[in-house]
Amino acid sequence: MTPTFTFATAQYESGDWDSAPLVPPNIIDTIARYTEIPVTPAGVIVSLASPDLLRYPLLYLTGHLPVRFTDSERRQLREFLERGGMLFVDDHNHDVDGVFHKTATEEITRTIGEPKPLPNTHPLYSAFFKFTDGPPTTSHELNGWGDNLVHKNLFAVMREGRIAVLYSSKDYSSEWGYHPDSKRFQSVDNTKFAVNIVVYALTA
Amino acid sequence: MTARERVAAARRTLGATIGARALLWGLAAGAGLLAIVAVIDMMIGVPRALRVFAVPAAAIAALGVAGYALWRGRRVRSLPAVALWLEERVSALRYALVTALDSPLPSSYLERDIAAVHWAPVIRRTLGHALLPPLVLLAAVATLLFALPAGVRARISAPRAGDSLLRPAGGEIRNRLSPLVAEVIPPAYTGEKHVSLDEPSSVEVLAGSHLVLRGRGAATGITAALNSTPLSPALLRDSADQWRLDIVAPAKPAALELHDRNHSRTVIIAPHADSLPVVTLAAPARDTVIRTPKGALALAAAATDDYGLDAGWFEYIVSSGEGETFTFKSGVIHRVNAGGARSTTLSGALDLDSLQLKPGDLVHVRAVARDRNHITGPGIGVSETRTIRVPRPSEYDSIAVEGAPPTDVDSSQISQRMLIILTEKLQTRRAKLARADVVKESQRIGSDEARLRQHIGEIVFARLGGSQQTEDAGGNNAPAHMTPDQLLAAANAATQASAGATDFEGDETPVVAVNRPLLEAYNAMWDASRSLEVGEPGAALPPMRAALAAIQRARNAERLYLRGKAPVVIVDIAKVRLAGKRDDASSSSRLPRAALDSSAERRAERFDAAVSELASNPAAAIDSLLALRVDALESAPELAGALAPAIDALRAGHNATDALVRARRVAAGVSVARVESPRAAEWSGAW
Amino acid sequence: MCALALLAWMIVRSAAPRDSAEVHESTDSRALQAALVAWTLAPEPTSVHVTAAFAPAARERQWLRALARAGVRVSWSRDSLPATAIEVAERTDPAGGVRAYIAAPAGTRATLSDAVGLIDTIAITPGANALSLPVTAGALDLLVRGQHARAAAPDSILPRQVVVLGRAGWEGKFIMAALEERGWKVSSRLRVGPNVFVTQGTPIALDTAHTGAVIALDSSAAQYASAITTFERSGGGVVLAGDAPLAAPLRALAPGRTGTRVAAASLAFASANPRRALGFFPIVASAGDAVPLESRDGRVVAAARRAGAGRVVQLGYDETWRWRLAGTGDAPAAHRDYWSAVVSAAAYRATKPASNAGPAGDAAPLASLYADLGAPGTPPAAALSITPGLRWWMFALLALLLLAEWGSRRLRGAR
Repeated sequence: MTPTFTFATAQYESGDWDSAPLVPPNIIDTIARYTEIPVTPAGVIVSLASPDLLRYPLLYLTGHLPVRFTDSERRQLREFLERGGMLFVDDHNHDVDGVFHKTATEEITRTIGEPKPLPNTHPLYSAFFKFTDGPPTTSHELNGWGDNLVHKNLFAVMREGRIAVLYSSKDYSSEWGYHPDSKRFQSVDNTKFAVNIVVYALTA
Repeated sequence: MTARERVAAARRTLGATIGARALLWGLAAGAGLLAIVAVIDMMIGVPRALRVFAVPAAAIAALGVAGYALWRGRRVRSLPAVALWLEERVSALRYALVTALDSPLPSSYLERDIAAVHWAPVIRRTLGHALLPPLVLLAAVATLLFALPAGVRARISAPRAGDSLLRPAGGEIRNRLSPLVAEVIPPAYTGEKHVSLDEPSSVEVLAGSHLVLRGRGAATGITAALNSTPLSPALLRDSADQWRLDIVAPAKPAALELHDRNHSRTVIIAPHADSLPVVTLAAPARDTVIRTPKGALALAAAATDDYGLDAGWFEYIVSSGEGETFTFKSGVIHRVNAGGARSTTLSGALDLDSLQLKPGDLVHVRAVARDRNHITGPGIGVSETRTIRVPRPSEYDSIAVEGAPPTDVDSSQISQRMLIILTEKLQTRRAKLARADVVKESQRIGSDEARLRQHIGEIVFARLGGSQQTEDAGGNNAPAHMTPDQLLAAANAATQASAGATDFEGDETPVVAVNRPLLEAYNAMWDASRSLEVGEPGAALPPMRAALAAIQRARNAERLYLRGKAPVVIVDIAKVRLAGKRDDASSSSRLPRAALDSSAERRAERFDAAVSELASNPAAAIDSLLALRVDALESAPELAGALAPAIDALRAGHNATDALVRARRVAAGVSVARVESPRAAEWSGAW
Repeated sequence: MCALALLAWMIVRSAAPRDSAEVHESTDSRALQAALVAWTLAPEPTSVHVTAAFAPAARERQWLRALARAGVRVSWSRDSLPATAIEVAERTDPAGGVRAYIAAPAGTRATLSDAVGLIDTIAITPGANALSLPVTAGALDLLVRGQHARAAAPDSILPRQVVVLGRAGWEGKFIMAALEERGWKVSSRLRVGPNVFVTQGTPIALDTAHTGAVIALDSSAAQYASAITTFERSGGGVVLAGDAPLAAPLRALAPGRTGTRVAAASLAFASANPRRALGFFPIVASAGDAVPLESRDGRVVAAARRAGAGRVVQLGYDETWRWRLAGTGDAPAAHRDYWSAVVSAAAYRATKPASNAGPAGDAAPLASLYADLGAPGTPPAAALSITPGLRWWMFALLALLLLAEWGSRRLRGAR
């Protein structure tokens, strides 16, 4: 048996943690499609307050609604991050004035520290595919939905020189929220950036 | 007056004299002891630990001496003794007085003889002899006490931390850094008292406190540095006959170094932070589902803080909507001014009627408290959040609809916005680029713009039912520019000719209404392309933005998302493994991590170096240990704690061996292990 | 009277010039040195015997050996002399420091100090006692019941680089993190896809000048088997983790064959034995020279062997990262220490040969005494072991007997 990478989605008490159910299979498909990383064919859902959190060092968290961690969620997440886990948070509202952004960043700050802009030259953008201009834009932000902004940077909380929390206002949850089989309709795969996130998490 | 009565009167006078004498001797003794301690203190300095006993000792001495004086005059209580005492001093009585007192019956003869003798002068003389010496001594001692400097008197009468500067310097001040007094002034909001410290080696303060250091002499020539960064000389001021340094305590541990000519001194500032308020939400006690959102929801919370709360309130957020469409409203209710209390309770009710909740809405409620820390805060504490949900009647129903990739118009818009970004960047860099480069890059963007315009045209004409013969995106072969009216006319014609639509709205067919923004975009993009072709990115930007706005209107008009519960997707890994094009994938490099434990070894080495230096240069060694303690306060608090007694002992000139050994054990991190398997012994390490 | 005569003879004999045998009760170094000077100067005794309450220093031992070579019969006996020994070796650890192995009678208390001062006092337990000392200054001095033993670590150089080879995954990531956090310099080449790697440093240039050890994370490291084998033969350390030995090119190096993966024995990471919650590949059919290092439920999890000039450690665990993340207590630190120790066990360290004249002093004083003077013996018969103290007691006894005799005569006369 070869140890495999399992994509985990964070379940939290408040909000709609399950707002992007097609993102995990899409990312799993992408990992398999481009890399040799052994990957579990289906993702898992893990409660932020559960010790099981520590079994999945990369965690994906999204939603539209306010994010209010319970004490146990905050405590468990802090331990997860301090021990070397990485949390990828994506604002499904793609709106910096929205409640998800405000409450999620507040909770992240309270838990581990304030997210700061991640330079577009960070190794994350060259971990597998090259993204010379930083994070790829999404159709949703280019459409002007949400805050009507093109976010030039992702945000991150760093620990020991590594990304502990990667925060995106770009709404990859919408961009990647489709069945992986639909990739055949696309001339350019818009999920490639997910490979970089996973490879970075696995090697940094 | 009989003889007995006269002796009784004399006894009263003598008794009063003895009492007064005892009082005077007692006062003189007490004052004398205080004066002796004061003089010794003035000359060589008495530690505060001893000075605190001066007044109680003086009182005990006074009581003792007075008691002794009373005990010595105890015979005055007896009339025969007083009579004898008078007989001894007044020879004219010739034992008549004693005899008269002893006689059971009054004797007129004796009474007459006794009446003839006056002993008042003897009494007066005795009174003078008895009271004068203690009075003189008391006066002398009192004069001495009042002649001493007021500071010395204060040090004896009311010893307190920080009074070392009250002692007169006595000649030239050689080292203005000793004695040194630190006064910690906590921020006003805490309501805490000032604290003074004599000869501090480290000062524990609340972050944001004022720290005042004072010493003898003028400030001129004294320099100060915080963590080796020199402090402004303006912070050092003269105050009466003392210098004074006034700083705000930093947020992190720091070493404050003071220098006066060839003297130096280090004071560690160890700050601690004001804690955030702790807020507990009592009601609602748990997350709730409310079928009928009517009435009021009781709210109750308790908040505590280490220094005092400023205010507390409840916050709510109402989320409405689903899928991609959500609206939010939030508010603050039942705000309470805590007025600095260390704990408070919040209570109130959330009026659900006023929130006009609908099925599917979520209400998030939490309690918030803010402390009065206006220096490094405010500290805001929040409770856990409770969620109140209004269920939908059909919330368990769902339809499985797979999300789709972005539609064609989305793609167009991506490109248009990207082209705007590229053009903006080019315009920004234009001044630094050669004209030829500007034109070249501008034309490249123009070419992309033309391709995009062609794409828009394809969409419009495809919808209009026409062919795509209108243009060819070949840049230089671009078709003639059509005005919006011409396009609309074409669109109308096409619509009426082919579709025969019946869903008219106003003067336009729905298809035209939908396509109008795209046609506007098409036209604006034409203008933009033209400007870009001639190398004028600045001129191209307005029409490009107009095109984007038009495309956005089109998107808003048409956008439709269907969402439902998605099926669980199991990816066929074997099928898709390495199926993607990896042309642009490449190897990358990883950056090394920094070692975590190196600081522990460095600390141990610094400790050893400092201890090695103790014999040759104790002052430098103590400074090194102080600096080590500053570093250890945050990263190795156990070591910092172990160093403190060692430094104090070294400073006080006491034996610091035990404290240093303890500190070394902590610094070196010695671990002991048994080696059980001789064979494994050589494979040292984990086993 | 016979007794009196015998005693008088003995006292006179002991007070006579030393011309044949010497007995010395060795209580401190200075007295022994003085005695050695006396013995060396004329008249020379024919035999000397040292009753050692402490082990003579190397100088005195050599002196006694010289006397023996000069024809003097030298013997010694021990008087509660504790058998102590200390050996000091530099830790194979990037943080430096030394590891001291201490031997002393069980139950005694030993104090350990260095040039700076006292380090610690430890209770000696049966078997060898090892101390890990991150920072020391100069030689270490062990003191047990008044007996000193001193030793310093020989000079050595540790190439701090560790090369990690294998597939990208959590195990590789967290092993590298653990080693780097402990101060090792890590180079790596982790395979992500066909011809796509995440690299750090120069991982493939394996030589003992730069690299202390190489870790093969999994069987994908087999593509570097040739370089790994050459490196190991030249003295380098190799750690074969997880299923790496399943790959044929690496199998020859491994201390044993890799069996079928065993599931974790426990679901939770208990603080007492956290690695029970890890699955592992058991090591079966170990090579003859393999040393089992760690076992679980009768199965070997870790084993080591020497092959060529290097060392190979085979570690069955393939998901130790779970321990770091989900372990109780300070599991990250324990994981760091474990992996650093695994690498230490294998890593190459260039050690300078220790010189014969060690400046530090006696590492094992009693053993040195045996080596220099042979086994302890009895005092020469002629000497009858009359020590100065005993001589004074005997004088007092004689005086008492004479007094008794005189009193007896007086009493008899009085009658």
